[in-house]
Amino acid sequence: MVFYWYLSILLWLPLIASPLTYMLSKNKVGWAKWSATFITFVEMIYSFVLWLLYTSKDRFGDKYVTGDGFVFLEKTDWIVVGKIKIYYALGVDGLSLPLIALTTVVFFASMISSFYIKEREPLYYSLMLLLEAGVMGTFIALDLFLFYIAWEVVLVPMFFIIAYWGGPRRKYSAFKFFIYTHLASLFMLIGIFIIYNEGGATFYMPQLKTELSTYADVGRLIFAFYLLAIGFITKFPQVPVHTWLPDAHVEAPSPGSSVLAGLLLKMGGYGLIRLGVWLLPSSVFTDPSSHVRLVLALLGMISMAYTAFVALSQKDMKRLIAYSSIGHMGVVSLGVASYTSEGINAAIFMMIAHGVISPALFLISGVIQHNAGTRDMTILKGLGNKMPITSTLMVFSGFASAGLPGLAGFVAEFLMFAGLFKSDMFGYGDTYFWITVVALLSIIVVAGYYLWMLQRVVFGQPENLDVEHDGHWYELMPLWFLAFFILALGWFPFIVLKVTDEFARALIPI
Amino acid sequence: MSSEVLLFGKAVLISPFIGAIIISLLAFLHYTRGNKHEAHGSEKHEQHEEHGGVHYTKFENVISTLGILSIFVSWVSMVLVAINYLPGEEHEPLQSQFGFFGFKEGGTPDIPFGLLIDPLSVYMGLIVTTLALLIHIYAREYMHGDAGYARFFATFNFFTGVMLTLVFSTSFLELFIFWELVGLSSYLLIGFWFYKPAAAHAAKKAFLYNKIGDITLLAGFLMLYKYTRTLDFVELPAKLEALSDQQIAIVAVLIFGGVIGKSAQFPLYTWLADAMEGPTPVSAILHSSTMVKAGIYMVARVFFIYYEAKDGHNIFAGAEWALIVFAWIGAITALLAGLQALVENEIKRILAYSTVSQIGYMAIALGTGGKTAAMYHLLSHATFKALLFLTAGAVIHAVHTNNIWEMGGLRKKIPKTFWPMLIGATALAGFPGFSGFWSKDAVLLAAYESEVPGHLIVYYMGALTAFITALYSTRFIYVVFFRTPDPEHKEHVEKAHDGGFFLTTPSIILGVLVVIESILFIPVFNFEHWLNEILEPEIKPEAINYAVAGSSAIIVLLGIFVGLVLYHWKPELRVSLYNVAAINWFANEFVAKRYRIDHVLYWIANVPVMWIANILQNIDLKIIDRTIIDTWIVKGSLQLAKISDVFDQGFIDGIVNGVWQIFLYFGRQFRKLQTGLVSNYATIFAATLVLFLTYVNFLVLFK
Repeated sequence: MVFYWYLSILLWLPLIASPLTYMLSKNKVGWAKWSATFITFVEMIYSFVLWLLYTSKDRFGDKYVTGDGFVFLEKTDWIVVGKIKIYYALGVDGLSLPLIALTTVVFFASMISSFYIKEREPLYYSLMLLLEAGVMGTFIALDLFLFYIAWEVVLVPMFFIIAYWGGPRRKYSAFKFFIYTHLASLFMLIGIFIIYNEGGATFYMPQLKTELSTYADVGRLIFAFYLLAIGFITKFPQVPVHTWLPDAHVEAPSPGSSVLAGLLLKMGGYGLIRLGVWLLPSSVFTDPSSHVRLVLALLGMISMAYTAFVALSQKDMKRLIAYSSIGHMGVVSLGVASYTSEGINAAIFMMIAHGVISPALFLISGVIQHNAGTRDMTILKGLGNKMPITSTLMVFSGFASAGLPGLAGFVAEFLMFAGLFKSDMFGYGDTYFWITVVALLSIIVVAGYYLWMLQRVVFGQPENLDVEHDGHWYELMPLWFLAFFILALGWFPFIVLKVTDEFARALIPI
Repeated sequence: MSSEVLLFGKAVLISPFIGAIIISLLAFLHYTRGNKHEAHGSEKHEQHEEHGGVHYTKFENVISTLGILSIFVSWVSMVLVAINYLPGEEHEPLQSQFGFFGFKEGGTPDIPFGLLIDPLSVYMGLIVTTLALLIHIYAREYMHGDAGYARFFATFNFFTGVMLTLVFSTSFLELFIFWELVGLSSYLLIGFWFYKPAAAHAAKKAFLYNKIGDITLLAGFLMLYKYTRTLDFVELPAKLEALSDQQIAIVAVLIFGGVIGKSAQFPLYTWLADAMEGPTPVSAILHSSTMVKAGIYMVARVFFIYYEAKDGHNIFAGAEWALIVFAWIGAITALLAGLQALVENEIKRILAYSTVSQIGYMAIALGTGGKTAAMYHLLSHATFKALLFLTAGAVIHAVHTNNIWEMGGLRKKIPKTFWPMLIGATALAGFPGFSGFWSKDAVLLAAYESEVPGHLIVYYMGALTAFITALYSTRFIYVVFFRTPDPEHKEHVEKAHDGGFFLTTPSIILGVLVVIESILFIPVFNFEHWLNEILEPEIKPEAINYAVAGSSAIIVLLGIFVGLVLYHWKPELRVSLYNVAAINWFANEFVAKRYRIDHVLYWIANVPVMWIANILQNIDLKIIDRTIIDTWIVKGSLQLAKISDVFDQGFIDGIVNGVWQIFLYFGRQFRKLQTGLVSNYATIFAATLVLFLTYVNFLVLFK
């Protein structure tokens, strides 16, 4: 017997659990967190099981429906209005599988570290579950319509999480976040309609891909790419449309930040690779008249260098980490721009690596804020003495984020540079050369601001700091959990790369 | 046999890591089970017993035993590797590899990870494990009473494992990963006393300076990867033909950039002196004998990028300008750092600058084609410099000061420290017949007989450095051990006493090792030829050149003589020398201030970076966020909204209101018709509807 609903379970479990959590814990407020944690835990274990099943797809493929290049394929008619046919289509391939696992891991960690929240608990946890469903839907949807719905659904719970449980300027930040990303996704919507129109009037992605691959008018597709890219790049985000990110992070509660940085940014990267690179024909990138790669490379380079400098002059720890996120997403842009299989691998791996590193850093900044009362790096000093475990984890994650070899971030950076060096320089010889040089040099500045942060926060003797104890178990446990993944991915990158390389090589054989 | 060797090789690498993990876990348990240590920062030296034995706590005993034991296992395995591998004529490299990225065949080539055993790595591995073992034993007592005892041993073991893996790396990627990880351990150990601001600053500086070199190294080997599609050390030499001479030279210089950072060469060497903020065992192993040699080791490993063997000689592999850069930077470093050691007053810093200067020698040797000479000097320097640091630590431990001018006459007080240190300093000075003399001579000979343009100037600079080395060795030995102490420091000098068993034994063993090396290095025993045979069998060894050997012997003796004149026989001569304004300025304002290198670097790196950072921060906040987004887009949208609103209320609403007014008028008129009858209402409703529809039709038709 063939089982069809592998992925529907993944999508519907949090979606159904979300209102149930809210209703069940109406009277017993304390239940909400346990219910939500339990659901995310189950979801995480289930996603690991799916991963194992996926890796055995060559042997048992017929048992879990493969087709159109996807595994666990589900495809049924959903909305049929005249000629318009919208499918409820889900599927997984080498690009989405790691992101799905990342989603469940980050949500599990964030859920536990939310235990400090005492206001409106039921609402908070049901919003978080809704958020998980939305993120999950974005990664597994194979129909553009469904993809867009999931993409937009994510904004709503995130908006409320920032606006209700955030810091002092939360209203401003929440609106900024919402308007920025919503506006950008409208551009994306136009892009989607163009693709829909040009690709034989279907929203089903594999079919669109086949239709578009024989399509002649590159110019129009490049135009569509730019429209889509506006949506994705704002979500990443890349300079110059990044200013919502520091504000949103600073004001969001730390678990919210960790989901925002760990997953919501990845939606942009996923979209760029899925719609920009995978769906659109390769001529969009390789056509001599196309400047897509140059534009992406410039954006990536500017984001890396620019944010490295801006981060250097931050006083708020969370703002610094937020800027470093933008820089890391620059690696994704550069990886895609290099248009080599190394580059695509690097882009996906960076999303995974950053997806475990930056949540850890944001959660640490939360721990420090809750226990020391401030995140201001001019006041914090000598936490090494007061909070030894948190400090250890902070040094660990800080170095991971600065790209220390042996930890997750380095693998992505290395592959990205290998891709950049390998790429044919694309007729822009010198430009590409300088892009590579600037990106390389920015790594020094990145190391610089992280070391400076550590020097200010961990080192020295504490003065005027009222810290009684280290973090609570629910603050530290998720950190150890994430640290485990940071270390494992750094030493055994092939766990992820085996999966992604299949995807990358099918996409770009060089 | 080869599988056994590989097995032992793996044991060498894994044992220190296992030690580090167990120690970390124990420390974690110790901490969480309520043994909250006293806050870091209490003066640790005060906790030592004034006389009598050192009393270790149970926890310290367990931790240090574990640490020493794991290194001991590693050392024994290393010896087993050497015994099984080194004898014999042929030394085929043994490899045990797996793909790091897990890429399948046919696409992106995977990069191997694993173990490479060849004479070079075995040679280096022996040095690292032996010194690590001795210094671990030393650290057991030296770190006694420190709140971070377990943290120290965990990091120290971690470093040993990382360094050994670096040595046995099989590909450039693996080497680079461990290259940066030794940088991390260096950062953690320099900043070990993290509550000291100076230590925090020094740690950051060390890591950043290293990072600059690391980036060029990364660029260098990525360029290799671009053209050859492999990073395997064994496969690389054959594939170098894909690169032109200029490209090879660029790669060579970029890789040398890594050496400049890690091995503290000009202009990035000042971090090494600041790194002395770390505990002495750290200085002894990381910052003198092993970690900072990683750069030299790496160049020896990829020597085929610099030179290729032809007819028993080394000829340039690429364009020669790369080698000129290499040799010259080595010579400049040797000279500048040597001068600096001459004016420095803190004993550990003297040794640090001396280390920089001696690594400069090794760079000279490599740059001029003497791979064997470089590795030869590496061995002798590693031994005597580790010895010097351990004894320096014992001296500091005895007198609680770092400044040599606050010491004096310690010869009788701490004999178990004095004699090993004297042996070490004699070897460092290159006293004829001691180990340093033979290896330094090999380096100078390589420079003398090289074909690199300007090699003779490099040779003269090296010879001058040999003079300076002899001079500063004499200086610090004399000032610390022989000079009558100043009256105000007499008290703590009087109280000085030798350390306990663990503090003195390693330095005595090292002293014996230096003596053994000195005997072994006598040309009769052919050590250098043997080294040449295993490291580069295709090269003919240089014959001993009595002119070079004789002149360096004279130079060294002259240096020692001048030192004795200046510090012992005629100290007033020194004073009058210092009274010469030019010399005074040169020594105190120029050399002692590090040739202003830090200043220059600060102005060309730090200041612009912070300047750009501030500007960009302003751009980010004021221009992008406030002006473009808030003012133009948000305010613009609001303005648009306001206009729309006016339009809405004035025009559209006007129309609607107008219609409403008409209705109202008619309504008032119709009120008169109000009768209460349903049929009338219906009539009026219908009439209104007709009127309205007519009006709408009218609008639509005539639009």
